Amino acid sequence: MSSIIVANGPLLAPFSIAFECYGTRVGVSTNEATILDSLPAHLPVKSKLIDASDLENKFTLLTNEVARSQEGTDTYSLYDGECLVLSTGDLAVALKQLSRELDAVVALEASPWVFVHAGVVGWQAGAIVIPGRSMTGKTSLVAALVKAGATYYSDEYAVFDRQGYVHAFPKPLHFRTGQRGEPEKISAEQLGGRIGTTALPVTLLVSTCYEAQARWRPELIEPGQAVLRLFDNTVDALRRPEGAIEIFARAVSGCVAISGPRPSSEQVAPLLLALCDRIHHDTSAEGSKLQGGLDLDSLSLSTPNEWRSP
Amino acid sequence: MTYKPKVRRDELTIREVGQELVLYDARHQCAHRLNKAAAPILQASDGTRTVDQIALLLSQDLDIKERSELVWMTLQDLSQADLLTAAIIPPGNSDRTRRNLLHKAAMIGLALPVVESVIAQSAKAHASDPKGHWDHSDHRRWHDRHDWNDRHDH
Repeated sequence: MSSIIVANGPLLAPFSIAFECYGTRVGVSTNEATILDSLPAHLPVKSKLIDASDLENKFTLLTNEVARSQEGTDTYSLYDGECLVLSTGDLAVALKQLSRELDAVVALEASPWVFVHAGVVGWQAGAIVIPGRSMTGKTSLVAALVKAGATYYSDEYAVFDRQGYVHAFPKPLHFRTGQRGEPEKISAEQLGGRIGTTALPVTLLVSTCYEAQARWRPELIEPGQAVLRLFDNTVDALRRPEGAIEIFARAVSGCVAISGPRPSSEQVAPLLLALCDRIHHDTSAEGSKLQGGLDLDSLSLSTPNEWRSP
Repeated sequence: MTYKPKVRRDELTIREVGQELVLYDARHQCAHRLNKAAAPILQASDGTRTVDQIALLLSQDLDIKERSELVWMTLQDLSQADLLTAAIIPPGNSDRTRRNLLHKAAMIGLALPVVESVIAQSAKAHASDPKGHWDHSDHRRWHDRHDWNDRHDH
């Protein structure tokens, strides 16, 4: 990946790059050539550098915008358009915030894709989608699924296209460790997994959250409920609500959706993969989608303790 | 009773999802899901049928009085969600009748009409949600966009 230097850019921040990710075009400028070189590593996954100046979204990272601090150390100011986001003496903090800002703007502005807060893995040519906000245990469940052999798509966003297929947004998994929840990033490869590259139809939608004392007794939910769960976790549902519902309706048209609190990820992950196997097996045996054709008894979901991973 | 319920059509998008309906109400910025028992009641509420006529379209497992009550129950939910052209006043004793109906439905395994709603979450709402994770970045952009809209709407 090579950087694009705009020599005749604004006086304050003459060095800039532009990228496109899921249809969103963003520019990042700085007044330090050395910072410019480090920017590509902080762009959203699947970004492509582009040569463009007419950008709707512009970020600027300035060094010593006014003057050095009294201690004589450098200061860094991050702007979203003309709005100051952050001022810090730590370049790593500024770059980390920039990375979050760029992910956020892509998730908000992406078109025609719809971003949903969800964990996603691939299994047997289908996706397992786990919608939910942060702190509901998405990352740990995704990690357990990847360790169990699933393909990693995302621990943060399910990216839906117009047909309702899910695309990867494979940032490193973002764990919170320790009592204060310090962030720790781990790649799918470190977990022994691999990253998905193709768009997948949704096989299984799992609406769940971790509860220490929970027993795994999920219930089947109706397709309309599944649409509502996705809609409730859409990054900005007010932006294109009707379009999002249309996409979600397509996405759930061929999937099984379940809901319920869960115990540890390690206990549940193999059961979810076994359930997907069963869905695939039954679907191919019947030669048709199972939408609305499954009941709890046929899946033995009401007696989860009898389940054993294959 | 000659009341003919009519579902509001303006600022409302209706999408069939399997046997259910998912609605988006742009007026109140919320989505509704009607299960397969409630969906035909909404679809029949086009201002041309009375409650009893709509009741005739429902499951034969209940007698006509019970079916009418089922329609009233659903219409109440639709009215509370402001999905009807006019608010309704249900007939008296509805609580008691509803309890009896719930009991009977449970006995015969009949699905009752369900209207479930969620408010469309803006990025701002996600940011202020304790389980939201975007802190201020999406919050600020939401503000920017809506400030911009406010400035340009007037």
